[in-house]
Amino acid sequence: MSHGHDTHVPAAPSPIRFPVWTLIVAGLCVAAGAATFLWTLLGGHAGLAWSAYLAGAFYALGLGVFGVLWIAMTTLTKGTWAVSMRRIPEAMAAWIIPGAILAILVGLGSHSLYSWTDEAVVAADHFLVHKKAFLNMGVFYGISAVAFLVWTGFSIAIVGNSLRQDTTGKVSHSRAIVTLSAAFVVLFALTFSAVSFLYLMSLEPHWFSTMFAVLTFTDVVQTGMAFVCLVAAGLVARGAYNGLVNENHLHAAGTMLFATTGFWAYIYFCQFLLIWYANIPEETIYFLRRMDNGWLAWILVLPVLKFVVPFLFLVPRMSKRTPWKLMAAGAWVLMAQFVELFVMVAPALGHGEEAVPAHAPTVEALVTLGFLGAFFLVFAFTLQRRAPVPVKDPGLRECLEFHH
Amino acid sequence: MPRHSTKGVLGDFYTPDEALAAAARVRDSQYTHFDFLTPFPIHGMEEAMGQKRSWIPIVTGFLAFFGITLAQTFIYYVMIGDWPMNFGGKPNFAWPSFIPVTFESMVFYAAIGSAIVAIIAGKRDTIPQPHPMKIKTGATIDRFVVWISATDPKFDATEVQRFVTSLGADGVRYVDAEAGNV
Repeated sequence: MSHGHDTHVPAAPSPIRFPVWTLIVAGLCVAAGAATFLWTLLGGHAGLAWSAYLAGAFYALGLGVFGVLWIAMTTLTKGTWAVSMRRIPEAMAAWIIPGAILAILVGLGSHSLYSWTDEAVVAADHFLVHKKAFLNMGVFYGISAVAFLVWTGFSIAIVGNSLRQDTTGKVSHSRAIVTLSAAFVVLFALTFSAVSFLYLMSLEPHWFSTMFAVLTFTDVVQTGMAFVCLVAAGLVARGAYNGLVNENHLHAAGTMLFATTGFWAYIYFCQFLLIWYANIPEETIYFLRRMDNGWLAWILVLPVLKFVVPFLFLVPRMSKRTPWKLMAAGAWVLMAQFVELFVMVAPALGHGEEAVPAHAPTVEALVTLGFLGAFFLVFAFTLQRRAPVPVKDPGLRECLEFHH
Repeated sequence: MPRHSTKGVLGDFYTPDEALAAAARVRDSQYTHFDFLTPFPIHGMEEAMGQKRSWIPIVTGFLAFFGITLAQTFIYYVMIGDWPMNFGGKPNFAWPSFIPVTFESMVFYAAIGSAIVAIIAGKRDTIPQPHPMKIKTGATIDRFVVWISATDPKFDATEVQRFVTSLGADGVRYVDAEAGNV
């Protein structure tokens, strides 16, 4: 009688190939996004163009940095179920360098977006005089540079260790990833908070919210998880993983998407409840502006799009285990994230004085699709170039035995 | 169906993988009153034993909606009907203020209610277990034990012992606590 473990290990799959039509669609999105941005910018609507650019750049950058964050989080929690699909977040992290360059270019449009860049406005405003130590272009570029360099450095170090392990098979690479992950989560919390304050919260320079950094963090985790679910389920449906990623892993990823969806509702409602209950003018301005001029419908529909629908859809077991259902849930959450950024960014235009009426998000949607197309192209070509599964990772056996 | 049985056949396995393989074969056999007693939960055992999905999550769902409804109805009754109060100039029935307590009420009724339902259902909807005070198994130490109860309609002590031995189990034995045969 055999007392050993005789788990059948499937053969390592051949490199992943995305269907050509997805790459063509992504390329067309990039062309449409770039054309829309330039057309709007040169057509004299600089504010609209740059706010669409900001929403798209922040969205895509969040997906990129989620790659490193997700590896760090699963490593530190010993979430070995995520090992066999780890090349997906690793490929997402490849966006950090191009994404960071595109994001820092928001500085070129700062005069259209941020009223605190206008010396005359600042001088006449008691609040902004006091906030000047933080809200100025030196700090904007400085903190962006530090944050993006930290993310780039950690992404290269963590992904590099993982890729080298494929050839050397040494456990020391896994140990190095644990150490790097522990440092990264702390540095990420600090740098990402500062970046979200500068890029998004300062659109309303009087406004502040203690929940804002954790809300943007939640957005990154929920949206990133949605992208991982979409891609992993699509690849499983095409049989690209030879069973090394199977419905049990999809179930765990779907559960994670479900959890982050609940977490988003908690944080988003927290921000609203604190502001609504305290009723302080500097805080309520954010919601008041988004309840006026036709924005009310947008802000009311957002919790339905981003919480109620995906939450109820993901409750049954089979919506997490059936690839096309999980793909639908992922795509839906990605769409809802666009709506959230649209409601965050678009009503803030007009330097706080002239209200911007609600409008169909045509320009914003096309520019965001352009960023997402570029992100997908970088992601897809990176993933296709690498071995699809980290076959020498010491956690892989436990991952393959994972049942839900 | 009685909760416990004092008669049946036991057999020991040494690893979870062996127990899983054996469970699939018992599932496909003619016996229905069987169970696997293990030191810890084994992933995939429900599928291997051919168990249906539990209906308890549906109860949990209803209890959750009950908790939400109860909390909001109670707050409405207190703040509008019984003793109207005003806080901070907000409407008397300011429902967003009470979302945290509604959430907690939902969790409370769903969790406690599900636990009670699970305990009751676990005592009713189960095949007769080896009597815990009268039959000793190695499952509390390091064995993965297959149990086929004598209440099974197809039970025949000799035939069942031969079947369990054919699964690859060690220490296959027929126990009858009433007859002092443990």
